[in-house]
Amino acid sequence: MFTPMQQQMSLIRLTRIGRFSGSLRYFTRGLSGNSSMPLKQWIGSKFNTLDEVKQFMQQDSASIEEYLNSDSARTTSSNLDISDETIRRLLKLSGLPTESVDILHIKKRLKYQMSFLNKLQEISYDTDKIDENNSRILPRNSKPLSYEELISKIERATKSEDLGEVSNSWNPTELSALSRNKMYVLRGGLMKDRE
Amino acid sequence: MEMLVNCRRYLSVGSVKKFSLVSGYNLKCGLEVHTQLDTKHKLFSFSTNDPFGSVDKPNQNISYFDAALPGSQPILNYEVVLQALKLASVLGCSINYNSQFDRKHYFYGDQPLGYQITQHYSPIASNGHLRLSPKFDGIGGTKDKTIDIIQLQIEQDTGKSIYIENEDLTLLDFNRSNVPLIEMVTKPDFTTIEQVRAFVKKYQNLIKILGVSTGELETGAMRVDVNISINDLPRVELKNLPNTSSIVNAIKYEYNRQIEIIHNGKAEEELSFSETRGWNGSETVKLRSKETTIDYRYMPDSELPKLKLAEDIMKKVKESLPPLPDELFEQLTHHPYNLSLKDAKIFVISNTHTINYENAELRQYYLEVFKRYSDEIGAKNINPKLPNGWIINELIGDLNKLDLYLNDITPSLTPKVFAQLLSLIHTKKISKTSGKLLLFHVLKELKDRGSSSVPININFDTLIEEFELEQDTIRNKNDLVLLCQHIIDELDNKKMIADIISGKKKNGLKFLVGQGMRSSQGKLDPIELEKTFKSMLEIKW
Repeated sequence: MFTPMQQQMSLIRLTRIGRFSGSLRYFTRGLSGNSSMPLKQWIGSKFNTLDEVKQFMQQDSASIEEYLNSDSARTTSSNLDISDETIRRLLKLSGLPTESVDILHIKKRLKYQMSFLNKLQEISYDTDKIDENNSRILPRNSKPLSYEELISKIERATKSEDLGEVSNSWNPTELSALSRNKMYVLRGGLMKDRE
Repeated sequence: MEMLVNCRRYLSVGSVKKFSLVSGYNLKCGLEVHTQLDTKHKLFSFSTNDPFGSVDKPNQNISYFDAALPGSQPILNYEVVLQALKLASVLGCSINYNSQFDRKHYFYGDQPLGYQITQHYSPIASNGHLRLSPKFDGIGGTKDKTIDIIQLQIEQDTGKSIYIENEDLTLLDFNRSNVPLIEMVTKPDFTTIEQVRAFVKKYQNLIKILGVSTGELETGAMRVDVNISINDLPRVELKNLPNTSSIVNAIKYEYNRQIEIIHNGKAEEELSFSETRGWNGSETVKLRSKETTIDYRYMPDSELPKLKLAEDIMKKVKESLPPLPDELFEQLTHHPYNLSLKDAKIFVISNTHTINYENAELRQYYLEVFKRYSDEIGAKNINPKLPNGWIINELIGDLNKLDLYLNDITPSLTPKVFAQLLSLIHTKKISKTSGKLLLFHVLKELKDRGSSSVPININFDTLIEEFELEQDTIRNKNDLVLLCQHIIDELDNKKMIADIISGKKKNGLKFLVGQGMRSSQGKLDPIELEKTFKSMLEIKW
């Protein structure tokens, strides 16, 4: 269980790009594509208080669930054209086996996901005016680094044993099922063109 | 027709030794160079960056992040940023004050994260250039050649893999994993092989002088891929080029191979698409076609903040840079030093022979000696050949012979002391032979004392007296004439003397001078001796 403080912190990390809630229930208002409120207004700086988050969540939202269960979603997904070759290529890119897999099943699910993504992409917004520095989890409006700070950071850099950075402070291959001469062992070559 | 005739000369693609560009077949090359940075720590962890030194100790220098253990996160090593900015500065690049790191996904055993962290969307620097000159870089012709640089990006190196074929398994060592690299990409501006060779050499020297990298091709600290295109056909990328000769020979081979294909009318079939080829030492071999190149699914790295730099940072980076090779060549090959380019390179560029000194350290020593010598003799009276020759030939030669390091001897043989030795030779108080003996004696003494001993006080006057090396023992011109006459009498060879006078056997004069030097145990000035012999024998040549 989270403590109230942890809960609050995790909420504060949300940014106004309209990240999914835990139940995947809410998304941005712009999902319908014909909202009176353009999406660009919703991409802003991070939330700073729990009240801000609550206020945001109380606003009207489209429902992902409703869309996914709609006839429109089913029709759109069945109209999508995805070849078996594309599925195999995606599996390969993901480092997954391409043999003895249920291509039809994967294709059906992928079409469903793609219809949702297509729906998202229908939303029009003005990309030129978006400050991308607000669109990341990590703070991106940090102070620009001066030469003195750069040198100071270099001089202060030290190894941490907690991060295993000290040479020989831990035995990396001890954690692996297979090792030889202190090297990791990878079976089946280099995973290149794995079938 | 001319093209056909020219082409026939190159039908044998293996004839890379007798290479020259063929009229009508334009060569165009671009380079992609990966440079391992010589930082203390790795790129996104602070484990030791020493992939070559730890080659026989696998997985010794790896942190949890380098091994991609779940939950580990990247932490940027800012030394890499400083190195990248130094390189970007000397290459005249535009700096990106708000760059970012991105993930390049591919599955390969030596890439434990499943992606490489690189700078795909917003690299740290772009739009630079490196100028090659006929004078310093040997590119031929009379005009400078500018090679434009598209961008510099910071990225991670991969681990090393050893494939055991008969067992179908691979052994993995992650000492090299997460070692910082800079990828530098040029425009396809190279039109001759000399330009490629010169660029590689110049870039290598630059990164060495900046202390950015060892620049060694052989150890993989610098890796060069070449994109080559003939007559604007789709480019072929050449990889696996472990040294300069491989780079040059692979381009020659590929050039000839493509000409042969064009000549045989198979260009459409074989050269209408990009491909990647490797060099096996004697020929280029197909590795993969570009059409099967995988989709890397680039995305910004969500665990690394943007790299924001203050606008005035480059001013201070520039101030921290050492003098660059071209500036040093200009300085050293002009008044008052007047060194040849070959000799100037000794003070600027390190090579495999330079093990007893650092170039910058030797250069500093030379400049200081030169200044002291000039102060003692007077700027107008100096003979630049004296400090040049005595440091390049005698000092370096003795250091090699005695297996001594320059920084071991300079606390005692300071530039001031060395300049005193030069003054003694300049004023002819001692002969060059005696000078050589003295220098060797002093260095031997320092060697015997060991490098950790306290500096000794070197007093050449005392040593000259002790070893009776003073040149001016024959102060009287008549004494010199008497000595020369004695040598001629002792020789008792009228034919040889006649041949010397007539110029038939000019070397005979050297023999006479040698006899004079021997009889004076090297204390006489050989030039004075030669003059005296010439005057006595009335030699006209």
